[in-house]
Amino acid sequence: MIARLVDRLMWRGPRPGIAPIVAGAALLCLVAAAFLSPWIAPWPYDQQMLAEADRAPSLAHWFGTDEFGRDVLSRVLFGARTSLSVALVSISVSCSLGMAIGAICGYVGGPVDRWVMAAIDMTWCFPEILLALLLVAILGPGSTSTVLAIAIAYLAQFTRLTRSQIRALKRETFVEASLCFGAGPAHILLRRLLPNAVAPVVVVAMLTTGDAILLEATLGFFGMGAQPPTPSWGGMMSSGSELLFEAPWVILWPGAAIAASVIAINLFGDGVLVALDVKKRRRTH
Amino acid sequence: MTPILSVENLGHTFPGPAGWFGARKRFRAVGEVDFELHPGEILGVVGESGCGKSTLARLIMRLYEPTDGTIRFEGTDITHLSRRALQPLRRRFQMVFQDPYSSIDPRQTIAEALTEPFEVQGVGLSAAARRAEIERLLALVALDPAMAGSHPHHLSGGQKQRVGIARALALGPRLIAFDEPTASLDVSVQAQVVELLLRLRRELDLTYLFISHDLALVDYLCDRVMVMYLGRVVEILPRGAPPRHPYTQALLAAAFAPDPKVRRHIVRITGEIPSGYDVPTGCAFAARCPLVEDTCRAIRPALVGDGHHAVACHLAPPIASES
Repeated sequence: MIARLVDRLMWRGPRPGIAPIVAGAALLCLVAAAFLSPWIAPWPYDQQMLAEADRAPSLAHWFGTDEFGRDVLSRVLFGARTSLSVALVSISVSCSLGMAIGAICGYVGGPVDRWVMAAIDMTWCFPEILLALLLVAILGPGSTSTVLAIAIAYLAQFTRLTRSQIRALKRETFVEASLCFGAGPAHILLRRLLPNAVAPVVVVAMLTTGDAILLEATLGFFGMGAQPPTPSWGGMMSSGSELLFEAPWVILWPGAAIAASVIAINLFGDGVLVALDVKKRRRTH
Repeated sequence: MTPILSVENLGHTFPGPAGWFGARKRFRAVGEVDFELHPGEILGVVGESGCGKSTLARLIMRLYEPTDGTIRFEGTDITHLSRRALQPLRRRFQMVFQDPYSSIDPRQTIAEALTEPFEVQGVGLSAAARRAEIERLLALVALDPAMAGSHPHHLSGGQKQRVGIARALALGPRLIAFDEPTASLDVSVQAQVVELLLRLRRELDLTYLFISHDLALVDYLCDRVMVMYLGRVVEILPRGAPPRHPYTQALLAAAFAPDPKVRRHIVRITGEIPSGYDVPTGCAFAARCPLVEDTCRAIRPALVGDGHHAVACHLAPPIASES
């Protein structure tokens, strides 16, 4: 799949256009910034300089300072670590768990499928944000419970998608051929079904990562995400909202970072969708 | 001579669509099928779409669990063997499927498809043995060894079907079931595949169960023909024998025979096949039969005859009058 993606992004096959390339580059910069934040941030994220609180952007503090005199640029860079890692980890957990449950339900069918899917579908009765808030309220605030809450909030969609893929694929003749050689369920699922089902799930996972960043920021804004002094974009916006008119840069920069990363992820995901030809591939073989 | 395959009273009922409450309706796909297949023989199975031909093949291949009857392969009862117990026996019977486009995983290369049987069976092949095996199999079905690295979408329908045949041959089977192997191919390619099948049978000493709705092809290829209607065998007849069942007569009359000297009695049948959800108590063909009598509707005729020719019809002339 990786080779295919590189192929397609290099303008062989259907052209995704320039936007996904730019978006991909922006994403790379964002991830690099998150990784390198301890080295590239001009100030420690928690260094308070009360004498310099609420300063507008200047040469010393490019993005200005917040109410404790902390450097906003440094906090946005460190916040990228929190926001991106929470989003990535939660989507990875959600996606792999959803794929496992969906694959087993789709393959086994019958009462197991019926009851497990009924339970999973119940999470769809709530809006994601409500479900996540509920879970964090039960688990207590913090990064781990945020990850869990986001993972469970998006579990149903990955489970449903994988299940429907597997249900369609298991009727293909090549599965019967494998059974004819004496293949067991593990071979059928892991070698024949899942590799054929993975592409659309990966694309949805990418697009959902954008939503997960938003959800993480929302939880952070409500004070339910990463706890101070760990910087997170949502938390920064929350404290910035109190200074909206005196120091608008405090809320502006983390907000811009959230918007930029969500837009970049969505554009890149759309490009991958086109490049992998997810919709057409099943019919053309 | 012990038959390679002997099927007794074989039947299969599919559960209908499931609901949250209430009983499911049951779909009778195959019922009371009896026949023997001898080594080296080609037995054709013909019938309309939905008459249970493909289900029969999948039952014999144990892709479906039979609900009635027994299947003996080379004397061993395989009807209810577990997957693990069946695994070593699977090397000796294989299947070729109708649709060459979906019978190979689109992500596999041809080499991977051809070696999957060994992998599943736990046969460890060295890299050299693997290469040799792939070359042997491709040569067997007259394909270019250079194709080993390509994916199925690079191949034509005929080439894919050859790969399907080669893959079925990989483990050295004695019996191969073909489920309409030429139905989705061009006529010219069909002829090549049929010749290939005949050559393979000669060279590898194989036995075929050949499912088709192409009567001319079955007549050309098969030693005996089994005619199915609504999941039941209505007649088993040797090649060239005059048909006795009104349904077989009608089927043959519908087939194109470009010989003006052959005068045929045309039997017309009208109406629809009854549903497998609601199988009639009497003869399944009664509703469409031109010769139908009251007995036909009340009592289901049994398949009677000698080892060569058998017919399930109250009105068919006795077998003894043949020859």
